[in-house]
Amino acid sequence: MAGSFFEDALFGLHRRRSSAEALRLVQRAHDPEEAPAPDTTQADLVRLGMTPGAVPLGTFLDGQPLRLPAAIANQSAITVGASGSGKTRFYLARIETELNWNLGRAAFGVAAPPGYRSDIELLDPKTETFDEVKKLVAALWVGLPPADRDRLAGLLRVLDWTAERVTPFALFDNADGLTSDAFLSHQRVDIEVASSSQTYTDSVRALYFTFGRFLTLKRFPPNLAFARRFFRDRAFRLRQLDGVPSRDVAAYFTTLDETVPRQTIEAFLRRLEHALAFPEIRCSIGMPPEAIDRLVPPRDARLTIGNFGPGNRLPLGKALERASHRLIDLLRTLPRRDPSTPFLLILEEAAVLLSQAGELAEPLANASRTLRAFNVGVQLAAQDFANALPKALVRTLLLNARWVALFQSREEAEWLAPFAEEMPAHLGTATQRRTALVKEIQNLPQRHAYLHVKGSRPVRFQSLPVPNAAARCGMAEAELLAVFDREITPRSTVAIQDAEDAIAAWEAGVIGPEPGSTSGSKTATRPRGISDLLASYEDEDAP
Amino acid sequence: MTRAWFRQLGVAILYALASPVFAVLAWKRARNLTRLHAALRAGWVDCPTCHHRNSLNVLARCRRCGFSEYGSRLWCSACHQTTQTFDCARCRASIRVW
Repeated sequence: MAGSFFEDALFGLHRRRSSAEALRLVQRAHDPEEAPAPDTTQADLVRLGMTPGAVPLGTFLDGQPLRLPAAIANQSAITVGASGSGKTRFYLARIETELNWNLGRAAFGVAAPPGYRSDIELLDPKTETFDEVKKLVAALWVGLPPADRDRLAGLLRVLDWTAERVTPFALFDNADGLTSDAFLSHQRVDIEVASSSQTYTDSVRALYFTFGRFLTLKRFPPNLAFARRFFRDRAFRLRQLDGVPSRDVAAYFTTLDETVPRQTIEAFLRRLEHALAFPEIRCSIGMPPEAIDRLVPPRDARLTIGNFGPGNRLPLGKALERASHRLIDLLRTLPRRDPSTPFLLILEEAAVLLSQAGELAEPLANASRTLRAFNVGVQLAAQDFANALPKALVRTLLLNARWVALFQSREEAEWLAPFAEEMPAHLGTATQRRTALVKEIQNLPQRHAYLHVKGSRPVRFQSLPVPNAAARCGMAEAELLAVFDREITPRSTVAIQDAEDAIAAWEAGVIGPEPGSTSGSKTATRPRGISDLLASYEDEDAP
Repeated sequence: MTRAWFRQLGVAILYALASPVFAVLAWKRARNLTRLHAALRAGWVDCPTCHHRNSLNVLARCRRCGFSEYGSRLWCSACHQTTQTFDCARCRASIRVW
């Protein structure tokens, strides 16, 4: 409201004094003698960075190196930044460091700790970082002497689904016995139902769940021809159930024709047909576990890079489904790992992944709480972390993150606002300092970020420069990708034709000839209507 | 008695009846101005919630006309906009000054 005569007079009376007082307060903040104590956080971090095995992350603004002790750098963290702000390069530098150190080579001027070993996995639902890592690894590979090239290639495992090659994936293989068969089946079906665009009724879902249990018990892959024969040919089904250790699974399928309507079975088969219609997925999950072990023998890979971007081969839902299955597998196996070496799980575009695959939110939040005991750090990179996810989830993930790196970002800048008063770089009143810090983070230049390690004040730094891979070795990007696909990808993937052959061999061995070619099959097929029934009587009457 | 006389009498009665209301309003206004004067003389206000001492004299920006100046955060010398409340710098609770 506009002031009245009396108020204006009163403010006018105090105007000169107010102005002088405001100026005096600002000058006091500028005055080095009265300024707050200098920020010791940077000095503390520099001192911590001197510890052996400290991971290089960047440089402070005055050029001093920023290194975090491995015990902090390998813990759960959140990295937020707008597109192009530098968070992908930040993680590329980290991956380059880990790769070089695992090879016993120095990275960014820091020698590898003796006997260093770490495991790192990148899940990328947008393909961009995956491709950058491929180029980076290819550039490293080209620059290595021939003896080391094989070592580097042996460190990598690639999870990818292309028109030529796929990473095999045993969806219902519980040979390691990490969980119960029912739990594995429950998780697989949950992911499939959540990411599918088709509707699953309770009865179809129950049928899928029990079929999943059956596949797990038999170590069978999902296969449409097998499923059709299994559900439509009672005699075949009973033969397959012979020796199944679970009595309730055997009982469910023995009485299937009486307890499950035909429409439910057909609906399930239609959904399975849709799921396996994509050749990349059919070849990936359709291979029997024995064939996978033969074609891609297990090996000691330390860097796993997963491409879960839809590209132009898979719909988004199917790509996210791949990512969800992989993440669930990791969360199942990580609590059994040897905690003497660190494991770093990097989730690129975590906000997109978690907002679209909601079923992952709870296990991941739990993992960020519990996996620390197994030396596992879950590092989430995202653009719009604060808005894309539910507030409760953001809060849980933030609480469990050991450190946060904020590149140029909008709402997330407020996370550091409470520290503005403690930071000497900004002047003025408390509100002015908060506003200045938030605005600074919202306008950070590329590669500049604030690092907040819990327990200390945030510090601004510049991430490590990661030169373009192509420029580094003087090759075109397409050439580097070709080198990677030729030298490294085949070690962890299977050619589509080989996968098709393995599936065909399995079908021939397990399913056998079509039901129409055997004499006993007609009695096993249930008539669907009066015409089928009459036709079967006519066939029986025929000589 | 004329019609005009009745009108004047009515107005007088109306004023007489309204005078207590005006008196209360004037008293409230005077009290507010006294509070404002005291706050402006002190140059700061304690937050009633967290007891943080907030300065009234800052580099203030008028929320109506956008004019920025070193002076009181409660008054804009350009458009004469006044503000009765502001947020505590520590706990963000609003503080009513006058």
